[in-house]
Amino acid sequence: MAMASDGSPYRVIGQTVPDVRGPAKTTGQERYNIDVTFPGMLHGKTLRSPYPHARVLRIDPSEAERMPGVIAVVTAKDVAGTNRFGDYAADQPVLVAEGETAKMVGDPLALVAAESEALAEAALERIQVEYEVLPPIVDPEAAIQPGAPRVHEDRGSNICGDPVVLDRGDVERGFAESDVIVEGTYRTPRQEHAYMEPAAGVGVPEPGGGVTLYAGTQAPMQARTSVSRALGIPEHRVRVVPVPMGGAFGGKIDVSVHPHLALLALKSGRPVRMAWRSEESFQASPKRNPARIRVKLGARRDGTFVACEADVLLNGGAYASSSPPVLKVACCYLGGPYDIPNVRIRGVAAYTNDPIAGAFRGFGGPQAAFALETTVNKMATALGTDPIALRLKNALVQGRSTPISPMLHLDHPVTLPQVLTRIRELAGPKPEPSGPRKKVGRGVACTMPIFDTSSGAIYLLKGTGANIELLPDGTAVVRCESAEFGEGASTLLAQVVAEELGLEVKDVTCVLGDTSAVPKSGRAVASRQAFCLGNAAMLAAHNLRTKVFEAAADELEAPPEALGLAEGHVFVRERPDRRISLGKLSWACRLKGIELRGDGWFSQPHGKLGHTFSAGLMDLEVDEETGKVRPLRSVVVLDVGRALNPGALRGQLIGGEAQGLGFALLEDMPTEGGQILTPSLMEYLLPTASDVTDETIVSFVEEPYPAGPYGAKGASEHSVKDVAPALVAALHDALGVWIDEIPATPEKVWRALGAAGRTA
Amino acid sequence: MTGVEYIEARSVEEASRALTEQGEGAKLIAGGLALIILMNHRLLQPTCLISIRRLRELRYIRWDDAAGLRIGALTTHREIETSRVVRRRAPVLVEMEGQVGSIQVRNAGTIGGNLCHGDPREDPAPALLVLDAEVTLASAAGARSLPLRGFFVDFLSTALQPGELLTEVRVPPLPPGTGATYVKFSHRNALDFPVAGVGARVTLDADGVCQDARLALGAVGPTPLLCDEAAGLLRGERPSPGLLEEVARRARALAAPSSDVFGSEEYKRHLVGVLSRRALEQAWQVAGDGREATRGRGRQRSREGA
Ligand SMILES: Cc1cc2nc3c(=O)[nH]c(=O)nc-3n(C[C@H](O)[C@H](O)[C@H](O)COP(=O)(O)OP(=O)(O)OC[C@H]3O[C@@H](n4cnc5c(N)ncnc54)[C@H](O)[C@@H]3O)c2cc1C
Repeated sequence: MAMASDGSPYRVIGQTVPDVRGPAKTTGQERYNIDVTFPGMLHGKTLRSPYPHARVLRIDPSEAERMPGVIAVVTAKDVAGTNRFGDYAADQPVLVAEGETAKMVGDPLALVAAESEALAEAALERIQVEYEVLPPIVDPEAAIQPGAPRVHEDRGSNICGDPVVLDRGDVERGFAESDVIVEGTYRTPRQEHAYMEPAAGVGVPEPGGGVTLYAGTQAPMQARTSVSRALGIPEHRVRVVPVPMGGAFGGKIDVSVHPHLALLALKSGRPVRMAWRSEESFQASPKRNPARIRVKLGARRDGTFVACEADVLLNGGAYASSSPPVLKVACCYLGGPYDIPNVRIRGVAAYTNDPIAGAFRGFGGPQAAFALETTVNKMATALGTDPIALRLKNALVQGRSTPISPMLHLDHPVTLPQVLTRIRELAGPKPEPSGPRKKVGRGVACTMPIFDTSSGAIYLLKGTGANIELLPDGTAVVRCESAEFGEGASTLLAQVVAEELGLEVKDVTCVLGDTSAVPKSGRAVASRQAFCLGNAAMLAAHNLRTKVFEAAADELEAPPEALGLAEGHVFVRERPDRRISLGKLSWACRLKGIELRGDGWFSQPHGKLGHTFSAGLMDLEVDEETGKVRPLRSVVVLDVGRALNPGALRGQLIGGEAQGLGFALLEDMPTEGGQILTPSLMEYLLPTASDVTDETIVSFVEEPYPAGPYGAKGASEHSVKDVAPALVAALHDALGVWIDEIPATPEKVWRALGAAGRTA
Repeated sequence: MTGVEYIEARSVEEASRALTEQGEGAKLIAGGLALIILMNHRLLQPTCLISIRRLRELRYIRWDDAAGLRIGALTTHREIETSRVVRRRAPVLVEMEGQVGSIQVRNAGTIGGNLCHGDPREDPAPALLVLDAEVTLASAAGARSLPLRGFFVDFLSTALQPGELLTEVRVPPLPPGTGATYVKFSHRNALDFPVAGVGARVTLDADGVCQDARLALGAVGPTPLLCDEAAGLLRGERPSPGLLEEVARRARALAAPSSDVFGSEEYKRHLVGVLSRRALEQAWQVAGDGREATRGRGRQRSREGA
């Protein structure tokens, strides 16, 4: 095989390949969910509960039904199935029925399909609902106490999913042996995904009682199953076609418009479009779980960590969504990338009448990393040691079992020392303050991020399929579940297929997600796509290659073992001039009745989650009078195994860092009595381009991971996590105060200075 | 939002007449930025929109030795920000406009719409107030002139009478030795309304003694607030940390902010103090510089004024 000029054994892998959908996106030609239209289409709207907790006594849609131009009004009475969805507990209603309780602001009660959006909205106002308003349950600490009023009447308590209990060694003895103990209670915000495109799509009724849903999702097959079960429609009658989404970040795993579109399309007999407003999405889509985490860390005077105790409480909001696994992952992160002999971790997620929470890039990691890494930084201060040196001293090393999590084992390279050394090398000089009332500071953090390896360690993800077909024009089509939401799955797949079949990236077409056309590949979550889809596509390509060589053996009169693939041709390796184009071969096979299609199925049924190592450094300036922070420069180091597409990966990490900065500095969705206090993008402060660092240095450690495609590890979520603890440590470096509750708003910084007697 | 009538006015007089004829439910629309948000949130449901966008005669920036700087009501934020005349005659307005929203917002929003919206959280008012700006209000019956300080009546309420339009904003010529500045505090560096905004102006005599001063606060009360008493302390004085601190203290006391997700009342008061002191320090410095150098320096300043 020809070697690339940079010494890499690969031709396409490892190169920065522009997003294959980039030209369409940048020229406005990409069709997103809100762009989908069908002739004769109706417009659907949702009536939502204004109360966080209320019994729905009566829903009377008759007046709305009589309005001219209103074609269908749907309530729970029209739902034939379980009327429930949810992957970890089927506890979320498609529509709240009479007699049931609405459990959060925005819970759906009724749907309308009308000739225009305005008409549908007007019809919502004509639906009469009688409520019995109930006191909202909003304090997760109180909610989990025995005997507390319950959010779900049919559940024994407000504890959502199984509490987590992780133990190693003897923490009491560990703390007794510690010379220095550092403790803290940390709080992290409810973060909204705030993707540019809220949930939207079109539902189209099909002959025979079926329905096709043109609506984005990170989990097409799961959406099909959810809709089928909740609505009582046989699964084969539901087709989900995930249209490219304007962002997802974990917020589009659960179904959103999907069951509603199906209900309206089936009842009206016409295509129905729905597009949530961003305010609606703020209410109805799951957020990052607000967390309260207590951490206690004990160390010897020489810096050796002896004991760590942590206790997590997640506010899950009204429904389980992904809170149970988010909790597990958070607890797993609290073990840290450290070798600590005595560890005790406890975790609980609570149901409340607050907005629903669940999956969001990092999946419990950002909350846990903020708490643990801030504690480690405090320990460095207490011991008077350099925070990087302290981490190096305690870092996991090859050959040790994982800290505590049953989800992990260290069967692959442990690169934390390289990662930390790299960040130290890239740190550079600390910047100078720009003016008299400014202070600068620097902070670091590191984590051991995890990713799915198609191992079944995360629900529903066991096994990843892909298939590749060769077309008579010599190009290839690759099909798998997946979805496009800006993360670049299509580009990655095209790279793998091009690499393996000797094609150019432009010669590979990706068909993602259409449940009637693709093999099951699992959800587009958990930093798993490059790893899992990459492996599945590689296997499919190898199977296809075998068939291609067998078929070409006849044509080229050489044994299959003697053949190679390059530049769209099969050739005899010894005599490269003897070759046949893939297009010709494909035609020939058609005539001979040979199928040129390869299937790949990648699974590690007994495997565990994959893990890697990352570190972040943040330099900032803070105004010591107003408390406002300006992030200046950051360094992100991540062991990626191999950077399959360095440019795309860099984009992912910089994007993740921006989201981490939002989490650390600006973003919060507080509630009062279950009502959102930042109900729209006017109040919810998403960082703009002028609020992120002036410069971000991204550096990859590339220690090939044997199980990964070309050695790659999952990477796309990881840079979110180090930002908050690094930033809070930098604030401490600048001002000498610790902020234990993020976002570190100017007011919190000012108050911390006041509490420390440091304000004028 | 069904059934809103839309009238495109071809003159100030026509717009005024339409306003009177359509009565209560009629609203003027310029850039539409403030109005459409209110309508989307159903805080306002006008029955008739009277567009004044086509009134080219209200879109100008002129200098006139007697009247000073004259800005037509339909002039956009961006036009003011990038105007050489404004940069020369009232550079503080350039500094202020550069901090409004984002470039998109500045290209769409008009100065007239901004002032007439009557939202205390907007940037232009404090900067214009310290320059002793005046506005012209016109209707089919005629025009009147009003100092801007008399224009803001209450939250979202102005001195505009039924049938009246704001047609012009005027900034009288500034005496020599004058420095003015506007400092804004917001959480983000773009798109945000001020959590607090402070305009300051100092006029120095040849010896560097303060002859006159103004201080105005935005976003911390039902209307923009002029702190005459506080600023009055500066007259006849040279700057000293103690003096500026005292003025800032009085500004802090005058401010009447309310707690919200962007900050508590207490913190906003604190900001008023910090920003007032910084604004005065800077204005003093600009005034001092201005006495030496040529007039009309437009200095770009960052949001918290440093
Ligand atoms: C995302 C965003 C960010 C923003 N950020 C800022 C910011 O940082 N700082 C800031 O100051 N502002 C900000 N704004 C507000 C916006 O810049 C101002 O409100 C804008 O100048 C309004 O002008 P307009 O022409 O769009 O007004 P319109 O919305 O057209 O009108 C506003 C009101 O004034 C009335 N009106 C308009 N023109 C006249 C007239 N000539 N005579 C009488 N009445 C009139 C209208 O009837 C209406 O009641 C922001 C707005 C948005 C949407």
